[in-house]
Amino acid sequence: MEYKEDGHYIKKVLDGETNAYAFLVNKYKSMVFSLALRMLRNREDAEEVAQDAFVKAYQSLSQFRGGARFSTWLYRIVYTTAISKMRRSSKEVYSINDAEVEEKESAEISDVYYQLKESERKKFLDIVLEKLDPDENFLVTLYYYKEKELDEIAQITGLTKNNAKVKIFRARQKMMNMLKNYLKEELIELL
Amino acid sequence: MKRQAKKEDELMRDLFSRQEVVEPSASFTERVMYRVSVEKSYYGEIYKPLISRTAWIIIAVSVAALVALAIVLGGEGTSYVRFLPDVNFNPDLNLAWISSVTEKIYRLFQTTSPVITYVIFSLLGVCLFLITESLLSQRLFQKR
Repeated sequence: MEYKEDGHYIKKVLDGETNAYAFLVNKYKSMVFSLALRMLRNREDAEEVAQDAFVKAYQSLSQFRGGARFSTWLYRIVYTTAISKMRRSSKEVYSINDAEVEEKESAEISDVYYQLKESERKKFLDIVLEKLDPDENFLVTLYYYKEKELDEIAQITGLTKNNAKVKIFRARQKMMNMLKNYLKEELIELL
Repeated sequence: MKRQAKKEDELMRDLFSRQEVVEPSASFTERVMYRVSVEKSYYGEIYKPLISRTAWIIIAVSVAALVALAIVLGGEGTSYVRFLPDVNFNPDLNLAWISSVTEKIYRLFQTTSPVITYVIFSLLGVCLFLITESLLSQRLFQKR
């Protein structure tokens, strides 16, 4: 299916063609659902939040000025909706060491990481995403997976650019520590 | 330090490139659209005026132009001519060029009988209103 610019469908919806909204839902549903899942870690909750976010976006579509990208505006709705949902149901939070990894150690971790098999890297990613804080999970997904700029991430989350940068840095440190522990465990298993 | 950060960033990007796209349930879009249709029927349309601001400006300018045209095209016997000198705030203003342009337009539709000329102008007016009405109706039906 060929998609036109988001603005084309937004205009149609505002002109009363509600069905045009389905194009926007189809285009963004995977990313919206992924982000919700990253924060809530539960498919049912994530699906509910993703649906709520799309309905909220529809209700406020006339307020969308087009100053930012539609995706940025939509992801901000996903973020706030997921935060509200999380406040209602408190989830288990893991305590992960975020101490800075030394340069030499970091280089060693990198070397061993690149020797890991594809399946092992995937397995480690699943562990990381399961254990990171929900908002850190959201931030690193936007930064490393969607490759969003810090400015855009700040707009989505309502954080300042510096605050977003610090949070991403801390998340990266946690991930490096987790990787260090994971590699140690793998090594012990091998021996 | 910067080199270390860059290396770690590269590692993270490599790691996240393994992240698979997670799809919601197959009926996700249908369910969202159902909720949207319920919202629409409950709260009504997203409010937007039927006649936009631009359309109102065009209508205002058209009406002003029609009034001006009627004044300039009017014949000797037209009642306003008797009042025109009184409302002319600037007697030095030379409106001859407007008269010549409107005279040309008038001659385009002028026929031997003034009645036929009036009929032509009336028909043009009716056509203009019909086109405007059909455009507005089209927008109204699209909104429903």
